[in-house]
Amino acid sequence: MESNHNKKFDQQVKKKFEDFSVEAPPSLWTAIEKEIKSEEVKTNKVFNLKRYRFISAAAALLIIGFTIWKIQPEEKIFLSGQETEKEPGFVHVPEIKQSTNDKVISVMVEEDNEPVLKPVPKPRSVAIAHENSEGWLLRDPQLAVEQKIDEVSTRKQLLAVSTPIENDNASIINNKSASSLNKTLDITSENLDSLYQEPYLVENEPEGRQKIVSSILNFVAANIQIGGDKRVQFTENEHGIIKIGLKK
Amino acid sequence: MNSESFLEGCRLNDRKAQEMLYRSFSSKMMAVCLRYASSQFEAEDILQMGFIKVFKNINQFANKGSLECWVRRIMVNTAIEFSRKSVILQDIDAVNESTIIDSQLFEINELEVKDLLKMIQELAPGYRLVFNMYAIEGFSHKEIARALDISESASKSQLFRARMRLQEKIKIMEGEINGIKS
Repeated sequence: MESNHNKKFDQQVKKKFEDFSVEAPPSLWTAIEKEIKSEEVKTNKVFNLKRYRFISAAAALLIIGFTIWKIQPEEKIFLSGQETEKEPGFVHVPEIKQSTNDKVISVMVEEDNEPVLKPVPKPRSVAIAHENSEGWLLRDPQLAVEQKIDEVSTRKQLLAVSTPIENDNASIINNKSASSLNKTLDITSENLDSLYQEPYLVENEPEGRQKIVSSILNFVAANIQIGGDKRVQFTENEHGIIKIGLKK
Repeated sequence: MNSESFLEGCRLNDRKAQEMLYRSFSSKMMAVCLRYASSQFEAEDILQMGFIKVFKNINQFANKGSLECWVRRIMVNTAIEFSRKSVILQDIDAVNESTIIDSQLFEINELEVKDLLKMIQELAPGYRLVFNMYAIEGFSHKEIARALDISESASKSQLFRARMRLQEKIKIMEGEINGIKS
């Protein structure tokens, strides 16, 4: 039991502090405000993560899937590149381009055997030949195109001269025909480009890739440098398999 | 300023209302924190932590008691928690009940609050904590023992020694004052 004197002493002390107040420094509110803000940000972050966790998981899966898909075709190119040693150039040409290739060749072959019978070419790829029968006699398709270009340019000039004299309808018709001619011109030039570039790309690509992967690994290894003079060296063979070796 | 007016704002996390609550209670709560702290800096730390807790838990405040009492309780709890971390309360030799001498009747009416506060702050951390909890906050020894994880007798002995030290200090101060006067 506390004595009365002690109780009284405690009460006196308590009473002294009852109305006591000390001004807090003004900077303290800014500190408190700052902390409240950071707490709010934290809770918001947690909330957002919870809310979007399914979406973010799906996005992560998509990214992983995309990268796998993106890596896959590159390997295919390399493997098929080996197979095509007998017939280079044919394997990698995309569908449309491939078809043009076939047609050009088939036309050429048929021409050798029977020049009189000319097969009707498909509209897109060999549109020049369809319009101009003379083009078929030429062996080189590029020559045919060049001829066509000349023809078109002369036609344009003619159009430019004739339009002011004729009525409006005629000029519209002429313009239409001119634009369609331009289109065929574009396609043929594209096809030609693909024809001449493709075979070189097929052989060059894998070597470039090899260097990139192994050089990145070697760079990392050189920077880490575990084990003093001995250096880890990465080598990559033609099948894309990476080997680790020691280099003194 | 009516506390009801900004209470709603605080519940909605309105910064202006929170500032109003802070402004109306900060000086009183600073006085509470100073009693538990050994310095002004410590008191400010406790006050900051206390107000963060107040704003975080404002939704738990039921309108039963006064808001000031609720804020004060949080502040005291924060201060106790803070002191507990810094103070290792030794379960020092329990003072025998019979040895607790009844102190003389003390009159401290003339004593300045600031001087008293300084004396309390100068006490050993354990003494200060128990004295504050028992004499001013009105905790029982049982409650103190449970809150600080010590025995009841340890709480009693801490209080006894705290009171003795305080009274000694007051005596010295009064002696000094009388000496100056004479």
